[in-house]
Amino acid sequence: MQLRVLACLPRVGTPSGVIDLGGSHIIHLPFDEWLALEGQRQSAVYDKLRSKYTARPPAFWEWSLDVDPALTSPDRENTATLAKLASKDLDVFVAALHWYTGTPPIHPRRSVIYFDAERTEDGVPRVYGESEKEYATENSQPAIVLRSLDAGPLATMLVFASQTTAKWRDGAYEHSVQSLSLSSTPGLGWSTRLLLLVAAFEALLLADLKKGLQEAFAERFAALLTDEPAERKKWTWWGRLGYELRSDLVHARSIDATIRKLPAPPEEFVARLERAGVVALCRLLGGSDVVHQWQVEPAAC
Amino acid sequence: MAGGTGSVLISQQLRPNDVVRFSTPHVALAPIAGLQMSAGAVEAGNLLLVRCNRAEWETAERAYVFKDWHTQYYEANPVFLLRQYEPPFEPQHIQNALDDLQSAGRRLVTGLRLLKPGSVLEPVYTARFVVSDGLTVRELGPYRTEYLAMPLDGLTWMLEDAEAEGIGRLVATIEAVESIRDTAGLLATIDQFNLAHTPLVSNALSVHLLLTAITMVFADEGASGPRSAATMYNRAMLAMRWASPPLDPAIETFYRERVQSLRNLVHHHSLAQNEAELDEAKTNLSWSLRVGIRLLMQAYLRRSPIDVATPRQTLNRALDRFDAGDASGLEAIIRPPAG
Repeated sequence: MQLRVLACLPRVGTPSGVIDLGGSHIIHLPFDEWLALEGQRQSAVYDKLRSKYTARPPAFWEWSLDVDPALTSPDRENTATLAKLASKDLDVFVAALHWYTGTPPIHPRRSVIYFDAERTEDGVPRVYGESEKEYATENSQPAIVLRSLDAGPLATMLVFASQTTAKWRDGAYEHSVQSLSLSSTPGLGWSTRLLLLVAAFEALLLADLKKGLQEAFAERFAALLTDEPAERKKWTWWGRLGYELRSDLVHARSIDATIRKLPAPPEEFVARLERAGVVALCRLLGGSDVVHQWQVEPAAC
Repeated sequence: MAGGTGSVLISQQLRPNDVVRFSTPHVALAPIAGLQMSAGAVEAGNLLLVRCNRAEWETAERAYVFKDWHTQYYEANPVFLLRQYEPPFEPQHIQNALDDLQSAGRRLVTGLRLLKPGSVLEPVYTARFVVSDGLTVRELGPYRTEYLAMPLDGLTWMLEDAEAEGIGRLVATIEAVESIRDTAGLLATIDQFNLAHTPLVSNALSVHLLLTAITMVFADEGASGPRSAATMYNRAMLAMRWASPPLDPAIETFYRERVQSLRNLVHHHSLAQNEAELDEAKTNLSWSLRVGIRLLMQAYLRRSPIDVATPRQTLNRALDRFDAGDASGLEAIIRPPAG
């Protein structure tokens, strides 16, 4: 049977309401429906959350999971099995959202996932993460904002992330994805983020080389980003500067001279290089057909 | 910390002896997940660390009064970084207070990690609170309740009474380093060290980050290649030997025979998933970095405008001299400034 699953998306805002992703949706849930999922229709305590919830509604990813009907009966083991089944789809969704927006989202696993089987007084089977349902009632400062126009490209990215799952779960790519994700840790300066970006690509682009690393990094990175000669020249220059700055930092050389050569202030330069890094990763994963339509500039976030 | 804010919380009705001891109605609180201490409150430099009682906790976490965490709260014994603000404290000050908790919390956690091993997590990953006249503003991170869960899971960093002064000095050193010029590389090194200890980072990536940090502390400036790598790893080992002699022979073997091949495997992402080996590498590299980063910070702070050598050259020359039996260079780096 097809089971409706709803995962709360921490700090994701969707001002326009539903985002149609083809086989799945990002939606707002009416407060009363959320109470029904939680089994709290008669709770005065929960009712106090109504205005906060309604004013800044949480986003939920809604999709269908093909499951054995026996798993939908309320039981701790069944719920654990359902959570395991849902985790693969969730990982794909999180990767797609990261690659599309350039911002790694907080994994829905940290919040709450509802399996919308039969609704009882106790609600539906669900699993809570560390934050329980707090992100459902606290969404005042979304880190990612999605609008209707994001639906098409995000849906394409979701298909792409799904089709390439086996590849990006492989050791080298997993390492790169994790390194790129780490760069969004709040409070990190541009220098650390640049080190993480180069670390993400070192093994993917330079494994066959012992010399000429900077030039090879620049050329290969640019080749992943664009087929257009003038653009490629620009990105080769950016890649060369990025690698040079990274080497200055690692080898304790003065960064002043390299910074003077940058086409933008370091913070902005690294932010744009990071965005380019996500596109390059997708190209490397085999998504040139998917990503050729994008600009390397920041998208939805 | 004295007096009270006046309002009676539900927890106080349940446990009347728990009173709010804040001296002002405007406070900022950030849990330091994993940090444990036996004292009720500790001053570490300019930081005030408090084991909040339940009433104080609930000024920030009001929703939790309805949850069943009460018994676990005292079992978890969480420690908070506390800032108290005198009036006037206006709404426009709230963001600054949250930012201050983020940077002060990061410095504190860095100091803790540089002092000794243990599990501890920056507040940016869990939660930060500003309470002002009954208004609570929260900034939440992805591991929101880990400050309650980590101690219950045995993931802790125990602050002994005698360590508070040292932590205060370390935090002050980090703050001083942040405020001087040309420390982008050093601050990035500290970030690499911290990120390597972040939850959910794989052991392979942790080791990668630590190896990068080792290069940034112990390598000859501008040099690369096998000979330079051997020198760099030898210095990392010497730093450990200097800080805590005698050195375990297994650590010598690690630095002399295994770290270079491990580095090649990690950098080419061709590492077989040998978690035990990675754990050991993480431990050894972290120890060397604890010593190396602390020495390098001191070398930065002691740099004078007329110095020809960079701080990293100063440190590494001192380590090379130590290898030849002369510890005076390292002692000079840690010696308190005259006067």
